[in-house]
Amino acid sequence: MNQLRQLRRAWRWPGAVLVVGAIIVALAGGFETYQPPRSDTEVGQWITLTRWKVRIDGCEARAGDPEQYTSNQIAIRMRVVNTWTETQTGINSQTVAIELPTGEQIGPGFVTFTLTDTERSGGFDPGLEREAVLVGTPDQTPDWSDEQMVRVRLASERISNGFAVANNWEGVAQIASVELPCPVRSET
Amino acid sequence: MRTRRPLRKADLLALLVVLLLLATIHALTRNGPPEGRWYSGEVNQTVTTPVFDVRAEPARLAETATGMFGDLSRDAGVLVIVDWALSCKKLYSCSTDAYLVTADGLRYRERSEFTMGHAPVPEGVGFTAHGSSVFELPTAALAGAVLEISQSPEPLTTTLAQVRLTGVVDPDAPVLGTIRLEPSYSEVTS
Repeated sequence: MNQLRQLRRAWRWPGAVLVVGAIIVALAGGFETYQPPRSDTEVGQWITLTRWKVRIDGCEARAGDPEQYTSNQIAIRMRVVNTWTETQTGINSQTVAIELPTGEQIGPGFVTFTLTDTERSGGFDPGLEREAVLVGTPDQTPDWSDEQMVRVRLASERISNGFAVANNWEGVAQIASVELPCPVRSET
Repeated sequence: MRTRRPLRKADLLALLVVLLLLATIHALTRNGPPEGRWYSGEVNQTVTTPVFDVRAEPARLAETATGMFGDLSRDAGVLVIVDWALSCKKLYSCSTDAYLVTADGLRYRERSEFTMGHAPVPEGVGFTAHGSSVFELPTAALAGAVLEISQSPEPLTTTLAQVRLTGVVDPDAPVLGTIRLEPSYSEVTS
């Protein structure tokens, strides 16, 4: 009896923490079920994502120059069509990751998605095809041959009503990966 | 050996308050902004709601729009320029979002390249702002498009006023070359 009381007392706080943790996880929507990645997609082939059709056309890398105040950069050229029902500001960076020949991985997140058309900044309207670019900034200086490949991974999404957040888009599972050469250009 | 302080009622109360606070935040935010109440009307007609009044003129179609901070040329679609006025009745209601909604339900938000300096933003209650919004739509989607002006949701807003105006877009209107947008302005109306 005494032992049981001691055991109960010892586990009181860890138990409370576990219960509170479980409540927070439950409020946030619980854990995801694992889904294995899908097969590779060719360069120039349209990929259907949750809110987008995407076609990856090419890649270029550039080493940064501290004297010119430029950073390392990798730019993935693509064409995109917003297939959702409403104008979108851009592809959710949480659904994109880039693997470099150096072994470094950029993202999910940490990439910016911009239009190559400098006139436009107001997002992507439904059904209108646009040229765009995904830009990442590698920590390591790009230094690889033209034959070495970069891999872009893209994930599907879903709307989540997690804790204190409503209608938030979140990545669910990798839906496609594209391998393509990414020549390193020198600054001119 | 240090003795452990016994659990006090105050500790449990504090834990309960924190959990209650978390549950309240979750309950208030889980469903996003509240449903809006819709008010309908037509082009050239003032639609009155409890929080603002809206009036829109017939849209102009263009190849290029020129604004205070840059130009935008049509690409795959056509530019639709809507001149409209917004009268503010409550201080929190002066921020709005404008959409053109096509017959099949696709929502085209006003191009944000032109919101600053051109979209109507009243200074406050008693002001009416006049301005323009620019949209880009596929030409085939113009027929039946409806202008929607929605009150922007703010924290703890319980109801939203939303206006739907028909007849603003004439799909057979001529597509003009370049339209220069006038800066938005406000006037005291009440």
